[in-house]
Amino acid sequence: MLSWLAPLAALLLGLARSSTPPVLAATSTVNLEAEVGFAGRFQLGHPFPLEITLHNAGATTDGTVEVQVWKRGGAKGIDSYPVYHRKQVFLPAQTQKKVRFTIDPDFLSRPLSATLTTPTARARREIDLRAHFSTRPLVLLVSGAPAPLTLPLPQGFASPVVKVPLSELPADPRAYLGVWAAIFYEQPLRELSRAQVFALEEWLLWGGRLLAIAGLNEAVFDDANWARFLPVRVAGRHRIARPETLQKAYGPLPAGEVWAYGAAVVKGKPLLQEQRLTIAAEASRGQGKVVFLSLDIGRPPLARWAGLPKLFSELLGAPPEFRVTWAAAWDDNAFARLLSSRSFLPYYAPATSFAAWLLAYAAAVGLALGYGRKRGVGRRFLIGAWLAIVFCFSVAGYVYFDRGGKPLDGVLFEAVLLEPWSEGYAEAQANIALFSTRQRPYRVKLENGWSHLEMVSPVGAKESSPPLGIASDGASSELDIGVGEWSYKLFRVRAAVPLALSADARARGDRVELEIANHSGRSFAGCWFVVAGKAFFVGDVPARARIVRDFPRGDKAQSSRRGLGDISFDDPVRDFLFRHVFFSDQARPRDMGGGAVFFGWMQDGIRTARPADAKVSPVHHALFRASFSLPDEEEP
Amino acid sequence: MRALAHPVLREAAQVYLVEGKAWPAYLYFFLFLAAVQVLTLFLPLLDPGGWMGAAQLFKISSVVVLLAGVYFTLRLVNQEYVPWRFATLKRWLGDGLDPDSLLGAQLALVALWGGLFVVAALPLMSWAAAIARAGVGTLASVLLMIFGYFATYGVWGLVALNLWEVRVETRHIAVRLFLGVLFLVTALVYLPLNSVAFILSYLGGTDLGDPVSLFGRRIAPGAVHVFFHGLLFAGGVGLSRWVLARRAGG
Repeated sequence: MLSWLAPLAALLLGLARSSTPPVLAATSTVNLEAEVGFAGRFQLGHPFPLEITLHNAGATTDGTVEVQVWKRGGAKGIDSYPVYHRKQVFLPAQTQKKVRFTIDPDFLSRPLSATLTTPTARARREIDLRAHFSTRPLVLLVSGAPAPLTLPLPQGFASPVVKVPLSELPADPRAYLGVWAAIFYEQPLRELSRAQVFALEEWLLWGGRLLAIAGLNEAVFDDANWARFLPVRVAGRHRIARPETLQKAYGPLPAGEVWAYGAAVVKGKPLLQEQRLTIAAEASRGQGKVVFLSLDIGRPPLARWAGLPKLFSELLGAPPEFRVTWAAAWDDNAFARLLSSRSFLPYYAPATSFAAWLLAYAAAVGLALGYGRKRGVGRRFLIGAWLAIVFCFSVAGYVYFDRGGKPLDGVLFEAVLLEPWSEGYAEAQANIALFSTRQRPYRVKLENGWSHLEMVSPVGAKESSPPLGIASDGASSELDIGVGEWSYKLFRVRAAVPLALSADARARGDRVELEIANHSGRSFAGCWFVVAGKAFFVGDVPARARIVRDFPRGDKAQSSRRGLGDISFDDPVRDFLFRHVFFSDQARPRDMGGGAVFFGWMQDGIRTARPADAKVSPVHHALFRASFSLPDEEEP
Repeated sequence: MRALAHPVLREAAQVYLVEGKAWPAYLYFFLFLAAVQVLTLFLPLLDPGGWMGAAQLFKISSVVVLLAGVYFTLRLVNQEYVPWRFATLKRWLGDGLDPDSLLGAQLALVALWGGLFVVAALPLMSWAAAIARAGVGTLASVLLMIFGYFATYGVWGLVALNLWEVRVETRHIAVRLFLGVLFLVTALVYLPLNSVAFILSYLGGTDLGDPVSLFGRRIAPGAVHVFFHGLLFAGGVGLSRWVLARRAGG
């Protein structure tokens, strides 16, 4: 009976084989090579760049480059899962092309695989990562000097120093997450692309350290890109006659004239001064720092200076910590409770429409029966009419309920926690859920500057769901996520965002003064201030407003009957997020006991993810939270 | 109905369809299904998780169609509506119908009654599938499965009819007992044998249970389910054939 299955299976198998181009050997018209990290080095446990060089010895063609890496759930109880990074490429005839990815595998034991697929050929290469990793963060050296520069590193400095041409600096900030510092010596930045500048800026916000070292030519710093970074304005060279401060701090200088640039500090602070000349200055940028050194350490006499390693060690500081500590409780338990909130889902059960269709169907059948009786038509006609009504109502009702009404396939829910960094920047930790009413793949756009993507729970993933894919172009990326029917997937990302809101709290005896300066165009609603466990309602903070309020502290604070548990907002979803996600037992700020915390909901808040199609409804909530320790200050 | 050449088919169609004696069964079935669906959609609206009604609608509807459809199919097959209007087996066999022909007509009636229940449920099931975002393929496969259950369980209505033709109360008790035992015992003994569990696991994409080891081979729960129901159908047909042959011989 099933004899037709065998030829059908053979046909399908044949089609599948013919549609998959063979993996080609070195003699193929297309081939690929891969370079891992920065000159073959990367820091273990952090994202790193991967450069794929594509060779096309044949005719002009289009193709797809795909890199597969494996992520693990590990302690999160999620099985390991593959992540695919994809890019479309156009390959002219007889050319080679470079494609860059930023990848973040969790396994060294599993080689990563890179594949180039064109309509006529397929080339694949497996890359063993074990020969490339370092347990220490890298130091990048970008030198524009004609002579090679040897960095005066302190003894025992274990981090690999990698020389990188300016053009090969990544355009994706995540590629820098295994980098301690980027050192630029006598290097103009005019040739940097906008994406490269953006990547460096984002990395600085996350905690990177950029060290600019002067060389022979002051014109090096005379470009717009350097002006964005430098804490100083460079003008002229000056001879330091008696560098006493330098010698006192770092040891005797070798014989010869010591020159330094005139550096007027425009932002940040001077670190080292000699005879009113700023020798070193630094400026904070988010969690990171930009340091300027006005001495030419690449040429005599300073190149021979024994004090340089100590100076360099101070300028480099401690290696940054790029690992993220998630400040909100975001897991299946939290989301399952959120799902039971009516306000969460802007999806309605079409009960009224259903009842209307039911009545219409009954009316149609009734009319047909009535007509049949009145006209005395035969039973055969009635049965035919009933079957026709059944068929028409089945098809029309299916189409209506499937595509009419509310054509909603899913909800992209985002709960962002904003915590202030320095200089008008904030860290945004976005807790994201993609809820789906049907089994289908989704595409989610991640805003520029995201990092630390982490799948929290692949709940409901059926085997037929496509694995996680990342299509990235520079800093912007799109996620391809498959979600099952009436199921969801949880993930979270981190981003550094500009936020012109400063919050400060100062203890003044038995009072606490709270000062909020909102220079941004966004308002904040439902703001509260909690001091020593007692909650005070602050109200709304409008856009471009400054609010200064006094609150009682200590025994006087007992006048407020409200604690953290009594705080409520008008929105049940916000109530839930406040209690169970942002201020749950494991997510409360550390200073809640003796310190204070200010928080409020940002209206039209910052988003890190957006749905790529109209059948997904975005739901967004963003809470700004600033916590303060309150050391006593004297009364002014 | 002249197109129906077989006298058994013609008689059943005349009594149940033309005279409309079976229509109440289809009406009750439809009303019950509609009521359950409306409640499934309306009641959760009183609760915060209102969308859950839409999510579960197709699963609930499938189970209702299965249970109610099997019950009413068994009642129709078992000639529980106006039983005095049907000619006896003795008469059919005495009129020269051989047992195989009679059994064929009876099986065709099982398919007809079951098929009409599927058709009656079609509009409501298709709307439920659309609301619950189940695809057309899922809708078609579930309706096909349910029709299979109607046929498999319906033949045991034939067994009861042929065994206790004149003992109407015995027949009534027998089919109800059969249904209860089938749904309850299979759920208690080995869940993959249960048709409700099978449909829910199919729609939910969940595992039905552990494979069973039989003669050193591990058999998947789905295969066990299909094999069990195949056996049930064949057993019902075989028993009916045996009873009819005995009556023809006696």
